[in-house]
Amino acid sequence: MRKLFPLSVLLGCTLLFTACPRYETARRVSEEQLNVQRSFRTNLDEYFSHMEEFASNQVLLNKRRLRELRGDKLENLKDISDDALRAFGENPTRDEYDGNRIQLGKDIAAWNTAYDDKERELDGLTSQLHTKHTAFLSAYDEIISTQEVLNEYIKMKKYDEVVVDGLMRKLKLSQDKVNNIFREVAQVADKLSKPTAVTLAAKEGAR
Amino acid sequence: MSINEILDQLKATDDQLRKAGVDDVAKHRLKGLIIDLETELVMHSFDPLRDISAMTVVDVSKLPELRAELKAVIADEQRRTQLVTNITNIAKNALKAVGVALPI
Repeated sequence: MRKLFPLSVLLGCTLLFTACPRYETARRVSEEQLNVQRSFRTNLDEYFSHMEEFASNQVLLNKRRLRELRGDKLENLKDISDDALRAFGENPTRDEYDGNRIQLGKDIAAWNTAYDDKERELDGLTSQLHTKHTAFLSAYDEIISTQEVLNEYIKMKKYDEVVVDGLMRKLKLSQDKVNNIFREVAQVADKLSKPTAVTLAAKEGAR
Repeated sequence: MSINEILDQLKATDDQLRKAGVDDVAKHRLKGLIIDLETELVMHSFDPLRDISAMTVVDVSKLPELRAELKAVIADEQRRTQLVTNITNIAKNALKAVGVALPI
């Protein structure tokens, strides 16, 4: 029985030493994955911030262009209105004149409102972009939070590992000791391979 | 032909009409159309931004629930681990108390 003990320890150690690296690799991968995700979160945040700044500048430039176009449009409305007034002849009636100017006022008001709406729409698009980016980052934060918990699980000492660790501590096993066990087992195996000869010699001696 | 090319041609036609002394009404109406087209071009240049705004964010609504489940699993595992440690210690002490020598 005593001779078989090192063999059983050897089997246990073999299982232990061949199984551990897989856990360690998984833990390292999980930890690195989390680090990469955190760094990527920072990159994403900066990238979105630059994109928003770019979009905001584009909106600013285009709003300026819209204001120029609004000025051109209002001037054009007046030209068209004047053309219509001239169509009444050299001396339009008061009603014709008033009607023409009232219509011009209405057109100018309508186009001003239209251009105001367009500028507001552009402002809205940048704030919508910011909202969308915030939603993306928030979703990614959820993913990282989940990865953190998953990482905690992967890193934790599990039931079987605690048993093995405890066993290792109690047995105070080191690599040297494992090597010794290997040697001892080899000796045991050597002895076990010659039992018949020993038994036969003993029997012959007894005779 | 792209919209920008159409716009350029409209502007060129507008110049030709002005130089040719074509009547103001036609000229002004053409000018109005050019302004309208250019305005719409400005607005359409923001279509990609509208598309981004319409994008759906990935659904992560299940993650908090799953995270809570995983936390419960971790807590269970920690309790089980602690239990095993305690049992191992008790067994070790019991063996010592009855005088059983531990191997190695």
